[in-house]
Amino acid sequence: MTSLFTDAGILAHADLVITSVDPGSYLGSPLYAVIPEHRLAFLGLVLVLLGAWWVRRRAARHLSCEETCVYRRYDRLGLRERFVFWFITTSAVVHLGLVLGHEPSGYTLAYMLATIALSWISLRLLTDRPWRRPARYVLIGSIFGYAGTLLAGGAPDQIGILTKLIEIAALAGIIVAPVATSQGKVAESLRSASVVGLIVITGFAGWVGAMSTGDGGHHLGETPPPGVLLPGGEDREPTATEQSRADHLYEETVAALAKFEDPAVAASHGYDVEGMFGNDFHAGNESLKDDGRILDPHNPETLVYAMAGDRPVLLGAMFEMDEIGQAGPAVGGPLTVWHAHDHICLSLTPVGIAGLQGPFGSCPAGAINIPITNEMFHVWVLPGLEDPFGDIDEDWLDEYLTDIATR
Amino acid sequence: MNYVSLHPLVSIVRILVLLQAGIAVMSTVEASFASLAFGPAAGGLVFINLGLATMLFLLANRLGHGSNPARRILRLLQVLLIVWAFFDLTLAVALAGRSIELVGFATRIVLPVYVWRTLRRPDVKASFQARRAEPEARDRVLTGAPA
Repeated sequence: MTSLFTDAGILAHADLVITSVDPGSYLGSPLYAVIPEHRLAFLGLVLVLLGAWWVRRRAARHLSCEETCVYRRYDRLGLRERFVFWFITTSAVVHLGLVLGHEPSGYTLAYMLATIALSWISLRLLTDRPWRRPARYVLIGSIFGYAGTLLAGGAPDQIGILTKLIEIAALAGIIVAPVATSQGKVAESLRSASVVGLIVITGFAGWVGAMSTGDGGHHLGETPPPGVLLPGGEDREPTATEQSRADHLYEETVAALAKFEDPAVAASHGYDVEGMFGNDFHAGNESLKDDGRILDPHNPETLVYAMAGDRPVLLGAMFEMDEIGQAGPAVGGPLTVWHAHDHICLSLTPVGIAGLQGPFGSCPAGAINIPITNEMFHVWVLPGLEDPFGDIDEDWLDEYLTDIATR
Repeated sequence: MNYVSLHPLVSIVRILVLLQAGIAVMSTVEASFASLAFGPAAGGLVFINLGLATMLFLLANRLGHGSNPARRILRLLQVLLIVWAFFDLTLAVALAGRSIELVGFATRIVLPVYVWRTLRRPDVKASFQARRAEPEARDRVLTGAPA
């Protein structure tokens, strides 16, 4: 069946349909990107790597220079001290890049203080003055300062997370004994565990920051939460035509989906309703995927259900494009924005969605990373919803489901 | 304090393996949340990642004791992690023309490759073998004494 929304005439409207989208032009969560203000810091990171290589070469050639020359001093450092030196220096340079990359604010002052403190420690290390105790304090302060910023709603990005990993490694280089000793086993295990703990704290804060920065990811101009990609563009008011088309799409979808309120009917049409649970269960229909029909309310690729106690409730439909990078027809303009997903973790034991790629750049072991999906678009058919194409408020949904469960 | 015969690079490797253990613990937490949100598919991953985290933590500790089996197991583990990362990267490039991000590159490629390469260096390997040949060194803690 061909509906209004798969009509070639509508799809051909240049102002409604983007015919092809470069996957790189999507707007995603800053968690998986280097935000523009951090590009100088990234440059600093690269320069330190080059500097490390250069100093290493020069140090080997300048062993005959004066006792106090920098190369002699560097050469006197033990392997572990060099490791800590470069990591602290890297953090100092990155913080300097942050100072230069941001508009002046309280944060830039904090970055500047961190730059000074970290540089001071690097210098003390190189000049053989006591450095371990102040290094511990500064590194712990920097790691917890960043975690605090994220927990307060700051956005994590690749530079931020990588710098904290570098600082945690430097701190580990100070607190963890070079090799295990037979004395103080418990203390040594605790020190090792504290390194693990710092990673978990940073990772947890990264998730909180990334989630609280996201705006929902269904309207243009929003910052998507992790795992959601939006096409670039600014939100605007819909035109009368767009509003009318959106209303029509909603009404037609509500009418077409009524029969699927009973999951048995959905199953008879090929939807996989087995093992239904939770309040966001997606029942896909493989036979409708890649079938050439786009945004057909009578044949949505996926139905979405929630459980109200032991009763399944149909929430709506999810339409999908056939190919990655193919833009969906925004028939209702800014009301009907399609989105894609990125960094999805797919478990292989057994096969199924297993969350999103974490702040440290990996899915859990045993899962593969799906970097991007086809574009998709939800139409929610629940009565009383303010925005049938956007996010369903979780509290509203819980209340709605509780009400149904107690009827 | 330092043991006589263990190569100084081993202490760097220990730190990096501890970072890997921390990331695996974080993955365990993430998989636990995912299993609540997305169902049982992620449940198996909780155990896999918990096992990996425990293994990495214990191996980092054993490495510090100069255990040659720990060195070998760690090397094997790093190979598995590198192969898995390249598989993922190939999939990302093939599916969407996307490459790995900065943090992923550091934690999934640079870190395991460095650990693997270091543990197979002849001088590092030899320091483990020397300790095996000299078991009393296990209980001998020398401060700045020559090997």
